[in-house]
Parts: sequence; C-alpha cells; structure tokens
Amino acid sequence: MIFGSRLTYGIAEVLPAFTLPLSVVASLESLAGRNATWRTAELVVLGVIFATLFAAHRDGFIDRPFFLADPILRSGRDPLIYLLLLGLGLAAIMAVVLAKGSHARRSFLGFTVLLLGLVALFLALPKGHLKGVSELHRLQAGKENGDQAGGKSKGGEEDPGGTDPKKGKGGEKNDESLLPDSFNDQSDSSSDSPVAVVVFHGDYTPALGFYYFRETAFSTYNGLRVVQDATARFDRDIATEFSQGILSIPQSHAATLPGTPGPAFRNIRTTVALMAPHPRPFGLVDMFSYRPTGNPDPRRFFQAYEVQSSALVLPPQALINEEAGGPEWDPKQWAHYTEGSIDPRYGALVERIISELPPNLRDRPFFRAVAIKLWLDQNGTYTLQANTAEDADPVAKFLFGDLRGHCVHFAHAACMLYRAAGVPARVAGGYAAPATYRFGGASLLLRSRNAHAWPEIYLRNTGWIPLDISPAKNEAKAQAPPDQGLQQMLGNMAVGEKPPPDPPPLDGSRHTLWDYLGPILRLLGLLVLTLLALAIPAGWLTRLWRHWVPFLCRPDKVPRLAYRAALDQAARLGQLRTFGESRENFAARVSTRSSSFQALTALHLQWALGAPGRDPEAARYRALLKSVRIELWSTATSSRRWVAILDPFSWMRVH
Amino acid sequence: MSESQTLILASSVLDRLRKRLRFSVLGRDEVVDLILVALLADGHVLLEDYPGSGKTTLAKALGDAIEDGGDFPAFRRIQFTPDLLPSDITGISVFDAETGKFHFRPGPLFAHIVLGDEINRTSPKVQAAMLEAMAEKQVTVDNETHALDDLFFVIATQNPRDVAGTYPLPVPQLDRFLFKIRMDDISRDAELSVLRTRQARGGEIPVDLPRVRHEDLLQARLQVEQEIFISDSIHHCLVDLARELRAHPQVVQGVSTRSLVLMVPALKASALLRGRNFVSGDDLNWLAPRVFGHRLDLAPGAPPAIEIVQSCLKKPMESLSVGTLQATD
Repeated sequence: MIFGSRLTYGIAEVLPAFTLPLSVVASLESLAGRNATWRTAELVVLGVIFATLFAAHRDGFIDRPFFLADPILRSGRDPLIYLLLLGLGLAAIMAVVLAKGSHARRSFLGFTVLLLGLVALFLALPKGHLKGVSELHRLQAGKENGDQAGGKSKGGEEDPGGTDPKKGKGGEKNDESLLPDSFNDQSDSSSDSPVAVVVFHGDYTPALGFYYFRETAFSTYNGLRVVQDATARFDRDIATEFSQGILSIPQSHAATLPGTPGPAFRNIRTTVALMAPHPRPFGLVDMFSYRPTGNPDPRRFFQAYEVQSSALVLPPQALINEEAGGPEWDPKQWAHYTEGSIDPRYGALVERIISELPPNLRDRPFFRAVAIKLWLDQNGTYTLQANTAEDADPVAKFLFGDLRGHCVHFAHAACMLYRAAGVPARVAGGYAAPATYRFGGASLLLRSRNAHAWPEIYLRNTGWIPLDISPAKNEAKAQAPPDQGLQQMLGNMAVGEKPPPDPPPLDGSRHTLWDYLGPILRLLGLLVLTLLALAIPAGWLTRLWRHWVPFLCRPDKVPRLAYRAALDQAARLGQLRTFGESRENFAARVSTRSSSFQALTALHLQWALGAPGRDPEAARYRALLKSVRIELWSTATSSRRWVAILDPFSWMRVH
Repeated sequence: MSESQTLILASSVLDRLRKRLRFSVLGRDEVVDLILVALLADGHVLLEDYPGSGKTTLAKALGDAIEDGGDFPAFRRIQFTPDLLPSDITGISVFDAETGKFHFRPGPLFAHIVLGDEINRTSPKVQAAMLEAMAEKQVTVDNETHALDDLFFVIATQNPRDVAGTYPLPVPQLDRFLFKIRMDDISRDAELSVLRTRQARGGEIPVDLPRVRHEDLLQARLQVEQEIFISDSIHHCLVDLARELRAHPQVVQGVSTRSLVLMVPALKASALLRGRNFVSGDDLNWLAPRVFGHRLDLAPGAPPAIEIVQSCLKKPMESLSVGTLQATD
C-alpha cells in the first residue's frame, strides 16, 4: 500500500464519481467539435450533473466541500443556500464558456435557457431519489462510517440548524429523563448536545452562583437508597407530566423569613424551550406555575412552556435560624423524609461530624446540614470514573469507601447523612448551570452535561432548598461554557423571534420551492434595487453631461459630441435609428420633424467620413444643435415630452 | 452641391447627362442614375426587362448625349441573334484588291456607347468575344489587337421571359457587368406623360441641354477617381459585407474581390451624384444590392438575392454608423 488503506479507499470512492462524468463530458465535447447537435447533448449532461449535485445538497447528503460548509455551519447558518449559489455561479461560468463559440446573441439566449433548464431539472429530481445514488457511490455520509459530514448533517453539537430533535440523542432514551440517576461510570458521556434553552424574563442571580432546574425528586427510601415516590402523596412540588393547561404547584414556603427584612423570594418568569424530549417539565427552583406556550419553531424545538418560580434571594446566612420540616407536616411526612438506613455507620459518621460543631449550634438543623455538606466538600473527590452500580449498596460503598464519585454519589450520600442528622432531605434531579454561563444575557443554554443531581433539605419557611456538595478535589475535566452567540440565538428563537437567516433543515422533508428560491430571489431583488438606486442618478448625471458637453468641449470634439447630443434629444423624444439603418436614412425620417437634423447629420458625416483635416466649424454645429433641440421639442406630443423629461436612460438607446 | 472646386467639371457633366436622359426617358430616374454611375465608374450595365420598357430609348439617349469624338461614333447598337458570329461585332479583316493587303474593318464595338440588345440570344462564342472586349477594352482579330474607345460603355439587355433558345449568361460573365438592373413598371403619372409628351420628345433636344464632350466625360471620370474621398471605414464596411455574404448559409458562391474593386469607383460616382465629395454609408446602401445581387450564386429555395444583400448589409452598416460617433483620438 502506497497511500495507506484509508486514503486508498477514499480515492477508490472519489475516482469513479469524478472520472465518469469527466470522460462523458470530454467525449461529448470532442463530438460537439464535429457536429453542433452534440453541443446540446453536452449541455444536457452537464446540466444533469449540476442539478444532481444541487439536489444532493438539498437532500443533505453532501456538505462538501467541507472547508466551505464547516465555517458556515459553525456560524449557525445552513450552507445549502451558499453552496447552491456557488454552484449556480459555476454553472453560469460554464455555460458562458460553452456558449462562447456561438453567436453572441444566441449565447445569451442559450445561457438563459440553460439556467432555467437547470432550475427545472433540479426541481424535477424527486426528493430522496439520491439516497440510492449516494449509497451506490458510498457517498452517504452517515455516522455509521464515521464520516465527518454525517456528524454535520445529522445534528452535531455545533449544528443547531441541522439539529433534528426527533433524531437527536434523546431519541434513544425516549421514556427516560436525561438525568444522571445511576451510579454508573459517566466518563463516557462525552455528548454535549443541547437539551433546552431557558430565557429569563427578569434579572436574577442566585446567591450561591448556580441555577438549579428541578425536574424530579427522589425521596422514598427503599431500604438501599432514595427513589421516586410512587404514591403521589409526597413531593407534590414536582410536576408529574406536561399538561395542556396552566398548572399550579402549591408553594411550600412563606413569603418572608422571620428576622429578615424584605421579601425572601422573588417571582421569576422564565421560558423553557426543549430540544430533547423530557417526561415532565422542569423549571427554576421553586416552580409554582407552568403554562404551555406555542412552539416558536417546530423544526427546532419539541415544545416550549413558561414557568413562574419563586426564587430565594436571601443569602444562606439568613437561614441559620430556620427550623427543619414544614409546620403542617404530619408524622408520616416526617418519617418519609427522614427515613434512612439502619446501618449504624451513618449515625456514627454524623455524630462525628456534628461533634465538631460548637455545642450551641449542634441543635440547629441548618448548621447540622451545613456541617455535613462541608465535610463532604472537604473529603470527597469528584470524578466521573466511579462505577459503583454493581455494588449492593453503592451509597455505603462510596461514603465509607474512597469517597470518589460524581454528583449522584454525593447527592445520595448527602441525603442519607442529612436524614441521619434528623434533617428532612431528598435528592433532586434536573439541571444546574453556573450563573456566569448567561454572560449577562437573557438566555441560558442547557446541555446534556448540565444534567445534575443534588441533595435538598426542607426548612420551615423556605421549603425545599438545594444544599449541594461541591467537592474540593475535582478530577473531571472542566466544562466548557456554551457558545454565547448560539445561546443568544436559540434564546431569541425560543421566545419567537426570527433568527437572522432562516436556515431550512437539512433532512429535506419540509422543503418548499420558496425555501430555495426565496433567498435567491430576495438577494437578486436587493441587487436589482441597489443597482437601480445607483443607476438612476448615474443615468441623470450622464444625461446632463452629454447635454452640455458640446458647448464646453474643445472645438475639434464638437462634431462628434454635438451630433451625439442631437441623437440624445431624438432618442428622448422617441426617434431612434433602427439596426443597420444608415445615418442619412435616419436623418431623412427625422427631417419631417427637424430639418436642422438632416443638415447636422450631413455635416457630421462630412467630418466622420470625409477627407480629414477640415475645420470643425464648432459654431455651426452648436447652432444647428440648438435648433435641432427646439424643432424636435416643438413637434413632440406632450406625453412624449413628459417621458423625455423624466427618462434618465434615453441616452443609452443612442447608437 | 459639392464644395470642392475641382469637382465642378465632373458635376456639370453629370448634371447635363442626367437632365438629357431624364428628358428622353420618363419615370426611370433611378435607372438613369445607375447608368450614370456605371458610366463614371467605368463599368457596364445589364438591363433586364420586357420588350418595350424603354431600354433601347435609354441607351440611344445616352449615346445621343455624347458628342462624337475622334474616330469613333457615339453610339452603336448590336442586335444579338443566334447566328451572329464574333467577327460581326468585333470587325473583320478584308482583302483590299487595290493594295493587295488585308485591312481591318472595325465592327460595332468601336463606339463610345454600345447597346447589346438581347445578349442572351446569341451563342456563347459571341458572348465571350463581347465580354473580352468589355473586360479588356480591346478586340483581337487575326492575332492583331485593336484598342477600343477609352469611354467604351456597354448597355446590354436581356429579356427575363422568352428564354427558349437562349444562352443564359453564366455568373463569371455576369461578374463583368457592374450593374444588372431590373426595370420595373413605371408609375402611372410617368406613363401618362410618356404619351402626352411623345411628340415633343421625338423632336430635337432643347438647346439648354447641350451634349457632353467625349474628353469632358473622360476628365470627369478622372476627377471622380481622384477627388472623391473614401474613408477607410467604408472599406471595412465593404469587406465585412463581402464576408457576411460569403458566410451566408444560402449563398453558394459569394462575391469576388474584383467586384469589390469595381465597387469603389461606383461608390465615388454615387457620392458625386448625391452632391458629396466623400463616400457615405448611404451610397453603399444604394449600390450594394445592385452591384452584388447578380453576382451571388444562391442555393435552391433562397430568397431573392437583393434581400440577402440587404440583410447582410445591416451589421456592417451598423458598425459603420456607430463608428462615426466613436472618438477618433
């Protein structure tokens, strides 16, 4: 192998695809040299090749060349239009080159016909029919062969335009949440696809620096760990499913906290647009109202809804005096949220941790919980490579083992410890993102990496609040913030604003003719308008210049310029020489309106065709020009005069 | 009229000839002009029309307008018949019994103006002799070459109908005629005045229309050749026209370079006729169909030659016209 297997395979793929059309076109070209009829066949074949390429791009099979398509994709636009325009330009050049040999007028006509034919062919090619062709040539760029193009066209992370929510990553675990609720090794979950975009309709920065979006809660102890409550009696602040109407969720906290000035909570309205399927809505803690809104862009989002949350605005210090548990709680509820393992090691560990607190603080639930959190912060190691799922008791294995784990480990361990310390606790699941990821903008893009589980405790006046563990030792790779522009754009789309260009999806299923022609026509229209806006003043200036220049120029230039000015005047008033007509004939036709015109023509021809070296007689020309203008003007109809006054391009018809 | 002082003689010769011819032949102003152009351009004319349309009258009037000069008569007429022999037109050597020598008796070709009536009725042999005389301005009898008159101008006629028993002139021979003129029916008014003024025209030509001297006519030819300016753009236009004609799909054989050479003096004469001292596109427009029309060998089913010439003329004429507006420096 000279090139290595990969390159050889690539060459073997590309060679037939290029050499076959090339040889066909080359042989047709040589035939066309002998008989002009073959020229038509050659044009048709070329047209088919181009149209096939266009249709392939339309159907999303090829986004080649990558060096063009990739930057366009990265900027959040669909490369289709650009590639189409490029191809059209190439086709135009090709057509001009091909038609150059023939008559000038006919080539223009042929060029137009060719372009129209191309467009017709392109539209006539049935959608999807290329699937067969591309599979034939193994050009299909699917994920299965690891081709780069497949990743691009089928919804890579950086391809919002092409992201098809139905085929996205969420499709595989359709009924499940995206949340990490297993103790499995998560190091391979490298996928970072967008999950949802949240738009804040009011400024809010959480005191702890993290936004928590709660989707689910685990509070029922099954003897080993906490799981979701199946009785629907507990965790009533979790929405169970997407509802069609407005959903009100009972608020479990007071408006103010005793001993603190001002309101403890603020109402925050957010709009959530989902890009991956979820079994139930999630929202900024604490969500108390849910209202579905119309999907702003069905091609991009699954659904969108609006959430009202009452967000805690007080710093953690304000909570130090809070009692645990709700005032209305019955013993059953207390038992539900404090039930823990009978393993004595939990109690012993909690005792050890709490004993380090000052004695006067040991009774306060908040301090007990915070002491546990700080202990876990200090001693735990965050890593994605912990795999304790097979263990009979993964929480105990983690907590009393090496304390190496990810958020699920920490959340469950903390929950068990909080409960052991007598503080009602549960594990919540959803998404968490640092407040800095908003970059000061209104929208926040949630990606699958933001999926998170965290422990929560229940305080009397605040209800459930996250008391998350942040291990001091972190072995996981730092997470990259979302792309700011992309986040902003998706946010704008989520609230129904049109994206700057409207890129159609690459799957080709919902294309209309307008999707292709629209942008091109708009571009052409803009071009025409711009040209007109420039051309009209330019036309007027030229007209004025040609009107006055015979009186300003050197005498030896007068014969030509004065006669041209006279022709301008005639053209303005509708008198035009026909193609191939001699100047004398034209003058004779116009002489019924202007006898001076005939004299001027004779004079001009004498200068142009007669023996050189004559006196230009500038004065005579100018006098004749004046009388030509007057005569032509006086014999014109009034409607003609109006046209003559307004027309900026009349001089272009002079020849 | 022309501003050039040097063209006064040529103008007056032309003017007088035109007036005389128009006096004698009514309603044929364009034909008269064409014949005068041919006369000044040293070309020959083939008239094609039905009998009684004034061909002979025209030729006779032209001959009549020129004063006899030198050894040659002003006008001779040859009626071509199938049994005519070349010596009947060129002349013959006859034996003089007194001197005991042969001596040449010139035929009817030795004249200023020669009318060859129904030239297609005679045998190709005679036609060839006639055409040699036209091209070379000389005849050869018994290996002796005799020069014809300097002015020597042939007006040949042929009848487009009645072609049975005729010998149509082949294209190379037609090439020797500057013009082939179709004489269409004259207008009603002209025909009426032909009848009304029959008697007056039958008599003497008025005194204010004097004849033209042979030398003056030759001098006028020289002046036209030397004094009328022809711009290079006209040359371009002519060559382009010839190339267009040769490239025309329905033209089997295009025009010859000789015809282009013949065209130049004709254009100059036309310019003089129109009162200019330079050749313009209008001259070309007028003469091109008449000069080139009969020189084209057309494919079957082609439109009339004149139409082909006119259509081929459009493009060169357009570039000539456009060229006058282009800056020369």
